[in-house]
Amino acid sequence: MPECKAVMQSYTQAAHARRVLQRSGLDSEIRRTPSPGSDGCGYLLAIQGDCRIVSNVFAKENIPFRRYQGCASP
Amino acid sequence: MTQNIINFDNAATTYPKPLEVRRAVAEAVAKYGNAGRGGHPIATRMSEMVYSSRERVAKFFDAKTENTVFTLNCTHALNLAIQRILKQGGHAIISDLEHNAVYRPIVALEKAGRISYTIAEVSNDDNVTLAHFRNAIRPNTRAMICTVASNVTGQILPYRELARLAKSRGICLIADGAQGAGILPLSLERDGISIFCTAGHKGLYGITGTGVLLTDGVFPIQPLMQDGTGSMSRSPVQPDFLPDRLESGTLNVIGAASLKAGIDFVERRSVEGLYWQESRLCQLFCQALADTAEVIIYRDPKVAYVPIVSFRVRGKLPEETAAFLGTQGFCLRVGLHCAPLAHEKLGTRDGTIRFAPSAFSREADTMRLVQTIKNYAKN
Repeated sequence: MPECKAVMQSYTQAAHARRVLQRSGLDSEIRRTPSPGSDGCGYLLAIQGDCRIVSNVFAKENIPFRRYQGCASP
Repeated sequence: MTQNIINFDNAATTYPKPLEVRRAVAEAVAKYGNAGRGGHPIATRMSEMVYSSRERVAKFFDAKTENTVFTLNCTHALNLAIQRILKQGGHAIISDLEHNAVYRPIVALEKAGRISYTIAEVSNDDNVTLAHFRNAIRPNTRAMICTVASNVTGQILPYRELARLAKSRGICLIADGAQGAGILPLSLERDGISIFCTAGHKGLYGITGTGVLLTDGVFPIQPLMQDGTGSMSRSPVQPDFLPDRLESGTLNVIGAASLKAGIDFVERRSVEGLYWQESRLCQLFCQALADTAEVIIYRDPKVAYVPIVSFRVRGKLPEETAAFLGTQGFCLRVGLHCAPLAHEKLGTRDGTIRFAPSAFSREADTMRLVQTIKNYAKN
């Protein structure tokens, strides 16, 4: 199963996105970003799913996120 | 022998708290650290709990989770809303029943030369109240602030109609829900309120140090404080998204746990059920004292009230009456209740005594209080 990592703006947004993804049948886990990026300390969602599908869910539900990490942006 | 103490001052803070709230607090103190700071197991479980609490609060008031901001209390939430919505100046309208949590920041802004304001009279007729607010609107009116229910008399204002009026004119309606939350079926979405502020420690049965600000997002609120938020930390600028923008520093995570448990308690009893249960005690109180001419009760049969009754005894200072009731084991608040406008309106310069039951108040204790007041009034 491919893993998609989406860097979120805050824990609250990561938790909200996880709930939304759950309703779409996608499991995810909130993790710390490996190192402070250009934005600083943060959280990413590691999602069991294709980034393209994730991107569609985010767009449909208006979920803000910073960027994808470690995979080609859809 | 320990005297039996009965609390009828629940409009200040509900006491006692439900067992589930006390357990949630004890568990939170034992288990939790700091939320949104770090990725270790304690931080993770804390962050999840805070989010879960935020989600609960949001659902209870039909708001978006991310637009639900934890504050220190209702005063903090109101100051945040009032000071930031009126930051650019303009005109504000408040009611003549407002608590100092609204009145003082408005007066401070006016004294600083930033705004002008009008106090709209609340009538026993909602249509007249609406007309007073409508007539007070000016081209530069930016905000209308009204309490959902008076903390002195308990009168429920026509907040839905006021929200509709404000929306029709592009004005921000800020509602003080301190006395309505947990007692009235309040919904940010259905009631059309722009910004709703409430305490967590009154009708929601959380602990002190908790409050909530809910916004529909239409009127941006800039922060009162800037600090670490656990997000976008490399930037020297406060994040521009909610709730982080308005939540600086360490959250009251114990409070958040208590608030979730408190709302669970309220929902199990039902908001409607609590309203009727506590209102019935107020009705019993008023009916039982109706034949005691020495007691003045500040209620009008034409008006809708939350479960609060203000009263006093003729010829006695309210402070003396309340002090006596305290010696008999009855805890009731006395004075101006931090709402001088309301007392100006009532003509109660020396204040009133406030009867405010909770989910744990009993009919037997209410009737004992009534008898005590009757005996005191006649002596």
